[in-house]
Amino acid sequence: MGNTKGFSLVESLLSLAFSLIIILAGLELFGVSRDFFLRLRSGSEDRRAALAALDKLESDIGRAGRFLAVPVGLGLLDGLDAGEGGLKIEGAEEELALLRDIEPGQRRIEVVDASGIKIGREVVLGDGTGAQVFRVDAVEDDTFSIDPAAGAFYARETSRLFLLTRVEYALDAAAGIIRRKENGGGGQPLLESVRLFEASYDEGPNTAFARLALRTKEKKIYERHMFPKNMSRAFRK
Amino acid sequence: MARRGFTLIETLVSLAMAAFLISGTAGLMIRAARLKIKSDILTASAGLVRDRLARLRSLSFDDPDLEEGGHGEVIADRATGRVFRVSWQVEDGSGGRKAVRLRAEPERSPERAVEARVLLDASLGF
Repeated sequence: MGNTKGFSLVESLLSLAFSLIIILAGLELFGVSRDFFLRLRSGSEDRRAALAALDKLESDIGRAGRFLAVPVGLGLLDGLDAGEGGLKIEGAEEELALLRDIEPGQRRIEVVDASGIKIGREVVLGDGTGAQVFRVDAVEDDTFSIDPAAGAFYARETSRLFLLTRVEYALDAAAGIIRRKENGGGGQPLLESVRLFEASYDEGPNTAFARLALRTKEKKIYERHMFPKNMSRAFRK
Repeated sequence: MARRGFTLIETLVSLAMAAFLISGTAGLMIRAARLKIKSDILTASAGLVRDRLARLRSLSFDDPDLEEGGHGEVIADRATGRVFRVSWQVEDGSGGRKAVRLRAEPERSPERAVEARVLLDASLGF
């Protein structure tokens, strides 16, 4: 048997203690860098979510008043309305081709394709000088019923019929959620952890403005001016 | 009894490896932070150009802000906490058209500027 010798108890304990220190230092380094990258990622995600919400709002505002120059000019629709409760945007979703003239008192309208029309939706009928907003209360094939009845004569060649779309933005302050509601449906959450959401519309220069802030440690405020081109006074009649 | 500790070389090599690891991680963190700041500033510059563009488009064709020549403003962006200079140059072309060149640049790092060009036509009516 040769001169074999194991580690003494003190040597083993010392090496264990050193190993422990090295492992703990490594873990600490890993933890610090992980926290750092997570914080960076969280900040980027917050920023991206806030900017995406503003992009969505801007896209909707771009459609405010689209094809609705006459009813907006006549005061039948707002097109774009901002108040303390939030923002309301009205625009035409699609044009419906009329099959024949509409007589005063008529309640049934025939179109080429009524597949996009649902009960409860609104349609706007107008010619160059007058317009009316109706609620759809029945749909059968390519014919649908309107309420109220047509109040004037609308010639097929000179009149245009549009399916109205209404989008509403509102802040659920208790939950901190901006909800986007389309055509009276349930409000889908657009952005969560919201601390502040304000929107305004200035008819004078025709600009909309939105400001929002998140419930994060960093007190960043995201602001944007938007141009609702279809709401321009030059378009109204 | 033959007792032997670590040699100087062994100690230095292990220290160098530890330092290399730590400095590599720290360098990566610093680089990531810088890239994020750079990206935030570029996004903010683009946002300010877009914001000013929306406001210019809403103006009437003969508004003082759309007169031929240079215009500018200084804006404190509340999303990045930085100060930006937004400037725009208007060239009055013939036939009721104006060419606008916009630029937004952070005051401390003007190389991170964003530019946009837009053509305004009086016949559009807004």
